[in-house]
Amino acid sequence: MANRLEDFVWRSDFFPRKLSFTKEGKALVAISIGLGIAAVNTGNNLLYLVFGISLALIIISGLLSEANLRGVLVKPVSGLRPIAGQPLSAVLTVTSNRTRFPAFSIEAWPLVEKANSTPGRILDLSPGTTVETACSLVFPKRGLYQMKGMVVATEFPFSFFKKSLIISSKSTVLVYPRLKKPAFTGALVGFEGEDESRPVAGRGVEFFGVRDFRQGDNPRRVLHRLSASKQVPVVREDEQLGVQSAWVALVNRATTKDEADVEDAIERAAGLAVYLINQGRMVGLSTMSGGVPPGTGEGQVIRILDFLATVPVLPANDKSPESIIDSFAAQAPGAKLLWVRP
Amino acid sequence: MTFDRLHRIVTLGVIACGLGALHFSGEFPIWVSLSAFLVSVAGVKLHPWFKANWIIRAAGVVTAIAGIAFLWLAISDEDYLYWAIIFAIFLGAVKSLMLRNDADFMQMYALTFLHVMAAAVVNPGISFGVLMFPYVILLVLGLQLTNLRKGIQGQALEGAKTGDLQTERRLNLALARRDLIHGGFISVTVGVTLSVFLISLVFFFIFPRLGFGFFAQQSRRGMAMTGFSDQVNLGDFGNIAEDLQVVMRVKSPNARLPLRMRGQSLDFYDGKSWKKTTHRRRPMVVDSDGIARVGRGLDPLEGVVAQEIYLEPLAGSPRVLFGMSTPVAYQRPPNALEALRPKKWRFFRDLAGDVVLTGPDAVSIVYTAYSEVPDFNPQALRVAGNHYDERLLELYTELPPLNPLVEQLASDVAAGQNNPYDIAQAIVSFFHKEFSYSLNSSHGDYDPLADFLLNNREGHCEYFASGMVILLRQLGIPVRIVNGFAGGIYNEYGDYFALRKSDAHSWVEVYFPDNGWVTFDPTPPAFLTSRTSPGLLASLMEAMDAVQLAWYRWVVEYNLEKQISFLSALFSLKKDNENSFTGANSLTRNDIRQLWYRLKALPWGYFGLALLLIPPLGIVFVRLLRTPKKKKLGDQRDPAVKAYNQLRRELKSKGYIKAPTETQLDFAKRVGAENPELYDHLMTTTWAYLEAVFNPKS
Repeated sequence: MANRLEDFVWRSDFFPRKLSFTKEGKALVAISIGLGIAAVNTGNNLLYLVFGISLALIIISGLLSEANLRGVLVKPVSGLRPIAGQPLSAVLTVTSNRTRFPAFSIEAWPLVEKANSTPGRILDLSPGTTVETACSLVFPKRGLYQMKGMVVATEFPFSFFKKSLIISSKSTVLVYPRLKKPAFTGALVGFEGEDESRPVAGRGVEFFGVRDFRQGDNPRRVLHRLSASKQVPVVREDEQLGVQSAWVALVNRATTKDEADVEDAIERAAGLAVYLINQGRMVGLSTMSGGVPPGTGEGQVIRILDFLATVPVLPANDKSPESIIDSFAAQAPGAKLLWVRP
Repeated sequence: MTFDRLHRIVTLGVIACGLGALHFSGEFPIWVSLSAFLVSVAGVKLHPWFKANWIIRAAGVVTAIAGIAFLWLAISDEDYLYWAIIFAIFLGAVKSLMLRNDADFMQMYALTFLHVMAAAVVNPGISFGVLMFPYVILLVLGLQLTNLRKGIQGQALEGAKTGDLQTERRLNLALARRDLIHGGFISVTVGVTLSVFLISLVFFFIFPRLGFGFFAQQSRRGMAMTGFSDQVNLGDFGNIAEDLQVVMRVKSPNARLPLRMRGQSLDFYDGKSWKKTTHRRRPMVVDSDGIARVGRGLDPLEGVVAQEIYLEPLAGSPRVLFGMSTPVAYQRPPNALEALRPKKWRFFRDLAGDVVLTGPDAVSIVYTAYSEVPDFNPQALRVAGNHYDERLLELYTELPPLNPLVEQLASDVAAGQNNPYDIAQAIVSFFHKEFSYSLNSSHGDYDPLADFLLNNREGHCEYFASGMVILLRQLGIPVRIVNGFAGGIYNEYGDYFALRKSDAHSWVEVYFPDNGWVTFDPTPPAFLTSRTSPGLLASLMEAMDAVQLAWYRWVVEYNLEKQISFLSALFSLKKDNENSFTGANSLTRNDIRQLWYRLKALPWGYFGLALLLIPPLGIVFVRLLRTPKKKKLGDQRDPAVKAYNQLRRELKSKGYIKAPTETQLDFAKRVGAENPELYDHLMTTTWAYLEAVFNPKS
């Protein structure tokens, strides 16, 4: 209830400002209250004078922090592809639309729920200028995060209060799982023992086939005339000889009540898939909740990580058979199945 | 100058102001504040030496030990405030050596604020007010610089590891910047400082002086003043003869320099000191105007000289009241709120006709003295005769055992005179011709008066007055010594006469039947000129005194009465008498009644309504200002546009909202896909709208 009220009061468009006390601000307010009580009790006029000074500092602090934020805008960030647990540096563009006075001690960061942000700082923003600064975000775990907007904050002038302005700009951030270094890379050596190399799509020069355009594909490979006739964008696939293919078979069902074992498996699967793709292999992903057909290159890395970012963790009592994985992997028969279990 | 150096120097200034405010209270020895200041100065240069963790831990241990030591001293002396302040000064000195990051600087400013709060308690003098100006200016600047330092540290230390030398170097480089303080920053700082002053003053003057403090009078430390108690040692006046501290200020249209302000009389001399045996006092009757008359009866005061007197807090109680010779009545400014205070002011009169005031201790007193300036006819005094009341003779002719030569001296001086008036005049002439004024003479402890009269004919006013009393009493004439003030200077800045401790003076009053007590001053007139010091220095001192008086009256002694007086003056209910000592302090019941009627007559209903409506209206107003008005497409009177807008409203009520990135046609197709029965209507209306907006028929 308190959070909902806070959301309404401070984070809605109606009240887009937030004011919080710093440690020093709390101390000043406590001192001021004590001073006021002492002045009223003793009737000492000089204590009233000092009390007036402390109140003036509080009031000026609040007014100036508001004035400092006026006319300061931050361009929303986009295109973030963070990995859970790893700091992601985002460049923020901060603009001052003011005409006279500079803005001091500006901090800016994206407002993402449950993410730890280290703000980008600008000490002195001259009127009418644009400055870039970098902030750092750390997402604790994979998944889809809601970005509510950009926060511009300041503790100017006295560091007693932190005033924040939220520039609403809703979007989502997909956080990839950690890439755990695969432990059984030795098993991949078995690829070299294959007797035949089958023609597969990949990075070659001979024409292999066409398929629909997928996210991550190079737009330059779009065949425009064919796309126009089919009314959907299609890309060319070339044959890559000698490429061995593999399926990363992930069992995303928990073995105990704790889902941490599945998360660990997801991270191992992600690490394995990225490792194999970087080796030049064609890699697909198959799980009990779907998968990604085999592919190569950076686009395939993105496709697999996109999938793993949101793959659900099935509870331990889920009755789905593991054969789902086999049936999905049957789309590309002959590829080696590399099981990753919790 | 680098940022870091500037920040440390500003912080040093803040520390100096706090220490100065404490030092000028006079409560602490100079070595305390001086050593603390010198340590802080050293800290500006030597702070890199104090960064090591072991030094910080050692400082913590030293501070803890010092704290225990000061606590023990406080318990031993039973002066907790004094040792607590000394400890706060010690803490500040130690902290000033360890200013490493923004948190340290903020703690330092908190400690200086503590010093200032302590100074507010122990230093009511104008030095506090003078030091507050630079303190506020430097504090505002220092806090802003600390805010910038926080940003610099944040930038330099991002992603840094503790103890990393590279990070340390990066931070030092960042703090060595010289470009952060520019015109914009200075403009903001000046504006902020002025705003802080203004808001502080507004709060100071409008904050109601109520609560427990209402019952406290605005006290200051009482000035020690010899000569106005029931016993005065001969020679005490010499100790204060060069003290320029102002004791009272007098406003009177009839006053001329040198002023003579009578205090109290003493009647019994034991050979070494004067005592007052007539100190049995009775409360005086105060009439409806607040006037307490010295004599009996309630005769109107006619032909009297009125003097408004601002008397500094003097130590001791009761407080002797002063007035020009001869005071016949006293009056305090009417104060309707005084009845609410626990300690009341009361006039008392003793058998000698001297008046004292009892009330709260160590506060200044403002009152009006009414004096008759007698115009004695020497001939009338010559024929006044020597038929004295027995009680009078008993009190005012008593003598201790005297040196026979003193007795002989009295006869010699009075030889040829046949009446008390001429005898008194002869003695005065004798002193003026044969003796000289000196503040530095010494007459031993055995019989100082005899030594003065017979041997070393030099002394100050106490010796002259005492000598004349002894000689007259020797001849059976009732006479008493009077202590008061004589001289003074006119302060043109404040338009008043100021009397200082060095103006303390003794003279005599001789009793003449049917005429009363007549003043005689045996001290050579040279004593007045020896105390005046014309020139620039005197002028500066006068200006300082006027400022100091204003400080005490309008800041230190500001109270509820003055607040109400201001409010009354605001409504033109009361003539603003800020120049008068008594006018600004007076507050009658009628004043309060009139103010209450005027306040009641104000349209409070509208004020209340405005108070209730302003916040929500203000929010709406601000919201409207913030929300940029969206320009509507097309002529809103066109039927096609109206129909489309109506359709959009209906769809919105059903949950279909057009996204900002959607075109009107895309929106219509989307909704139509979900509601096929509406598809034709949607498309028709949308196309008509687009035609009207983008291809209007002329």
